[in-house]
Amino acid sequence: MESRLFTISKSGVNKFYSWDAHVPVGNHPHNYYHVNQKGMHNIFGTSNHANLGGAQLVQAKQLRYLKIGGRVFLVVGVIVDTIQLGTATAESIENNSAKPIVAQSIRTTGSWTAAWVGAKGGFLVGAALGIESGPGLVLTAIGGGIVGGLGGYLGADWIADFIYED
Amino acid sequence: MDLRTWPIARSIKGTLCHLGIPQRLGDGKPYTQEHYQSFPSLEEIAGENWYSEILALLLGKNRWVAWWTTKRVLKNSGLQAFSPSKLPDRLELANINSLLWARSFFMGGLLILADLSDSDIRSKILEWSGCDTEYDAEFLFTAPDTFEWEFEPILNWCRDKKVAQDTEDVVPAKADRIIALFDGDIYCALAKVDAEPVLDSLAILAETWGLKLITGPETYGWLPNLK
Repeated sequence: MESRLFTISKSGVNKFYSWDAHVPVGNHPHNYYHVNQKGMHNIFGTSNHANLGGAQLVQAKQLRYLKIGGRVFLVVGVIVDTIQLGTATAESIENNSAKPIVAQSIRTTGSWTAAWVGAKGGFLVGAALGIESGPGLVLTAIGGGIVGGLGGYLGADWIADFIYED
Repeated sequence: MDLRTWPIARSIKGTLCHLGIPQRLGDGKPYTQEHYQSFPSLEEIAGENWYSEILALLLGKNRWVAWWTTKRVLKNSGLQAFSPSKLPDRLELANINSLLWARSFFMGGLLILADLSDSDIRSKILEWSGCDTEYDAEFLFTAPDTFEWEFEPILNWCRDKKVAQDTEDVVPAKADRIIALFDGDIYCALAKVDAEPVLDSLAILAETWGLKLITGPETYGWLPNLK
């Protein structure tokens, strides 16, 4: 499911609707950006393997770039956090104090947790605003993740500074 | 272009007949980029239950089915509520009394042996088989009640995507029918003598949907090479 841009489904129900981005795997000559769905034709009006076009095609491409960008940022985030935790560990050993590593752990955990909560919150806010489906909800979730991550890091940094200022 | 024709592909391999049952209507020629999208899907024509109606027809009156699927499907389908027994390497179908057996494997994949005479299990299998097969094929194997079923060769066959073309390794010695579900389409490998009654039943089903059965391209008779 790696190539799926988003999927709408409900636990315990065998129906789903998604946008996908890959070359055909079977006998169906569809476009790179296409719909995968089962049981939701009467809701979305599109069949399995239907090509995406017009505004949907633009949105699908944007989602793919965001997805790739998200992965890059994830890797960068993990590398930066690893370096920061390593530096804090060295500082703790040097000062013979747990404070640097504890403070950095709070910063790291706080920012990742808040990013996750922010993404969930962004999703709920998007739904509350009436963005019922598709890429709109993905974008509000990404926005929530960015706001949550930033807010979480600043909040956790403020708390961590009481333990050990960086 | 007559859009009310449903092309069922047929190809013969030794003693077996392969049937390729597409999810869209067609004109009997290979689909092309230009006109594939113009053919309506069976979901549009026959409603969302089209898939399970075809599966019910292909499973026939067999009591037992072995279903190669994923753990995610087992969980979502609610079949876990039947507390499946652990599937052994070999089972004599005539001597078993448990309704559901399952065995999962490292690297994904799960083989479920299910008693279709239980209406709840049957409906869940018909509902959940082939739910999302664009990435991983699912397989259903059927056998008569008198069968002594060896699962190890079936498992090896399911796990090795390169041998998915070798249907004669399975039918009729290890199962009497393979139903393969991939990328939204349905395929069936069965003995040549069993193919005509199945095609007749498919033609009757097609009529109820206002469709006419025609012959599809021979190359669509069985799964494309899986990667």
